Amino acid sequence: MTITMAKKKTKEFDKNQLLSLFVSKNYQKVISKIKQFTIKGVSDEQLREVELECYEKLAASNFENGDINRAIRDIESLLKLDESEKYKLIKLKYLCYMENFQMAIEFAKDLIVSKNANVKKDAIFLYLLANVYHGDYELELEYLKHLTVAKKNYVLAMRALFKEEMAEALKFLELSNPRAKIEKENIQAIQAILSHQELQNSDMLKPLYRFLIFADTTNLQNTKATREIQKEIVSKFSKEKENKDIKNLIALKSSIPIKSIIDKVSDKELQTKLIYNNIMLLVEKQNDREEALKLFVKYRNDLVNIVESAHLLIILKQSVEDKKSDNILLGFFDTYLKLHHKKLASFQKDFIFVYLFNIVKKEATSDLIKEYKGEHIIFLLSVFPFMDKYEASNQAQINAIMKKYSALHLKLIASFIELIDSTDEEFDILKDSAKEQILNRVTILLDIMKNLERPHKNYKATIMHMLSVVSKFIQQYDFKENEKVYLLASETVNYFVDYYNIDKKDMSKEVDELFASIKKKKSVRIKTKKTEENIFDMMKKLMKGFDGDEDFFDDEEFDYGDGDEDDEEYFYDEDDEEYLDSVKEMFIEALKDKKDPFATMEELKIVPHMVFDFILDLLAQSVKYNVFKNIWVAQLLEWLDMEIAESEYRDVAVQYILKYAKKDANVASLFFEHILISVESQKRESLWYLKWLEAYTDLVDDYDLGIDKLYQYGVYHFIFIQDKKKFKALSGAKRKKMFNKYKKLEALNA
Amino acid sequence: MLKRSSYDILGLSGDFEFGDIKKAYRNAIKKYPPEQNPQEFKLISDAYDVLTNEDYFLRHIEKDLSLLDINIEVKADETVDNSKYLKDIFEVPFII
Repeated sequence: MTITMAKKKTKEFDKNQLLSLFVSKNYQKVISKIKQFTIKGVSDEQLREVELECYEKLAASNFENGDINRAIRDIESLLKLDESEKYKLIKLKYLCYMENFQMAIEFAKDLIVSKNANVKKDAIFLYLLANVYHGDYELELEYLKHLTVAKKNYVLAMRALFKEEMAEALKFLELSNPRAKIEKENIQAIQAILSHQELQNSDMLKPLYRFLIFADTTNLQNTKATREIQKEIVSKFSKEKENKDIKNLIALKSSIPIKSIIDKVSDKELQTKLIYNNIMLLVEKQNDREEALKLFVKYRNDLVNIVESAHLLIILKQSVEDKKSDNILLGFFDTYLKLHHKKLASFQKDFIFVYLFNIVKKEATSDLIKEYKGEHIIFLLSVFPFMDKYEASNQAQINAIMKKYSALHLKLIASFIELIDSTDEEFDILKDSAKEQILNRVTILLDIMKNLERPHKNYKATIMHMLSVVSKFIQQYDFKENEKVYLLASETVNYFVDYYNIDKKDMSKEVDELFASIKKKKSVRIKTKKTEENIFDMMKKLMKGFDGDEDFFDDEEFDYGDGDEDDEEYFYDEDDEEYLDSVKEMFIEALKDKKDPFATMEELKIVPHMVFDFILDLLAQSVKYNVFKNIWVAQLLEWLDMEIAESEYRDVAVQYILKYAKKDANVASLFFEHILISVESQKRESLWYLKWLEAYTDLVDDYDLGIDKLYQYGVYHFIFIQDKKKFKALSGAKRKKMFNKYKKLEALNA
Repeated sequence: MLKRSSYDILGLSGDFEFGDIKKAYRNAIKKYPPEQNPQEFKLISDAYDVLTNEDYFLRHIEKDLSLLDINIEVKADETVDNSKYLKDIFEVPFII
């Protein structure tokens, strides 16, 4: 026997600090402070009560978290302070959970004869269960009568279970019908485990049942048995899940994690096929093409073995904006063609060549295409539309191509015709040198077509359409100066009229006009062009800034500039300004009089490149006269047939707004707000929209316009989408700048 | 729309050449004569067309996704019997 003398505690600890530790549930520290220090102002009895409560709470919390060893250590410490039956009962429960049934049975013996009815009942319940778990199924029946019906039947059910009498066990569980919902659910969980049925997960379930049904180990008691069983259960569940996943995939119900395929299927060929189908399902069922493309890129070295994979890759690439994956295309198709070119029809190869040539602009692409005899595709895409002189080899190529019919070749020729047609529409803004170059190309084209040998009959409509477009286009040029081209066009038309045996009555209006021009010796278009053209069409053309070869505003790295006069040349004309001023005045007068302002604009003649200044000036005046309403900005744009989010306006609009901001930043931001808000949600993940947001937030910052909701939205949306899409043009300094704005906003909001 | 792969429908796999497609088509038709298997015949002729007819191919290339036939047997789910663990780990369904 050891005798320990209580150490005299010399140091003091503040009562309030102790209370604060208690309130913050720092029970272990409270106990340690009580043991080490003198707490002034608190009686020993009060301290004992606090210590008891701390131990009790600690034990309960450790038990709930599955740490049964700590729980029992805490309850034993507690019992050293107070040996009441209430605490002994807790120890009895913990002994059972520790699977220390022998000790539990011994320990329970005092409690089952307790005078406290509640203690007695619970002790008997645990005592009987401990006996059953210990292997003694001979229940002392006189104790059973002290239990509630629910508990009695549960004990009998467990005894039946231990005796392998499953039906009996289920029968007793059915009879054990506790009132409390939580207990009812737990009984149902046991029934589900015994009868292998599925069950909905619920927070009310005790940890063991959740574990056995869902392999959820949360708060499961950490005992030797649970540690051993955990591995078994987790592996059982993962096998079962993989089985279920694969079955779903085979039944084409849903896509599954690729890991399941790799873990479950060892045959490489099957594995690849399953990955392929899985990607397909991801596209079809989940409509997640981005993820599908990511998976394709990741497993491309396996997928390339499947002949169908090229089709899948092209479909994915065409529907997902992801330039990063462009890098894998050449390598993929190189291997793909090596493996499968013998299986493919020539048109299938052509289809791949066209796709590849348009996306991967590298010499190696041409080499690959040539390796598989696709020179004709390179010719149609990169030589035919840009011929600057007549060459016999080109003639031979096109002769060979057009001798046989191919729908894809026809499409490529048709897209070239579209190019001529769109150049026709943009003609006024072309530089003179570009006009000359195009005329030369059209002449060469006519020469080539006139010498075309026996083109397939299926090209008839396309060729005649080409001649109509060319006939119309050359009318852009003065007849006298370009008589030779007019005549060459008519000769070419005549050649095909003869070749295809076409009735001249069936010729297009454009071809008729060509012949009429030759007869009258003048162009039918030049004279009437300016008066016939819709001024807003002209405006669109000017805004687009087309100069023949470059799509100026589609450049990703395009900078909006800072609004300085040098950013872009302006073409103001005093008369036009006067005219526009009068229109603005009429417009505002109408607004002030609550009349339809658009009625005054019926006869509007406006200089196209001034449209944004015109709109912004109108806004400024309407604000000035306090008649501004959001709605008429939309009406105005609709009337002008302008959708600012369209590619032809979206870059240039920002330029004009920033420029206008120098004159009136508030009005500029008002218009900017309108166009930002009017963009449909699906377009708000585009690069150009993020550029708008960047420009808008810069505008607000530069002119101290004050942070509003749109500004906040702009910053958050920019960061969110940029982090998701990772546009190169917005990475680095631009991302950093927006992130600084974000930090400022966060600081403000805090 | 998801369809079965044309190659699978025609029974083509492994190392074959473009010329084999026609043979495979004929074999498939023999196996499934159109008058007795109108639906299967439609599948077979569509599959043949998409692989050999350019117009048909271009009309379908951008909208049709094809799935591969997969022959794999997944073991039937073993009945997961976790009841024995109820005897190994102590728990009670009641609040005590």
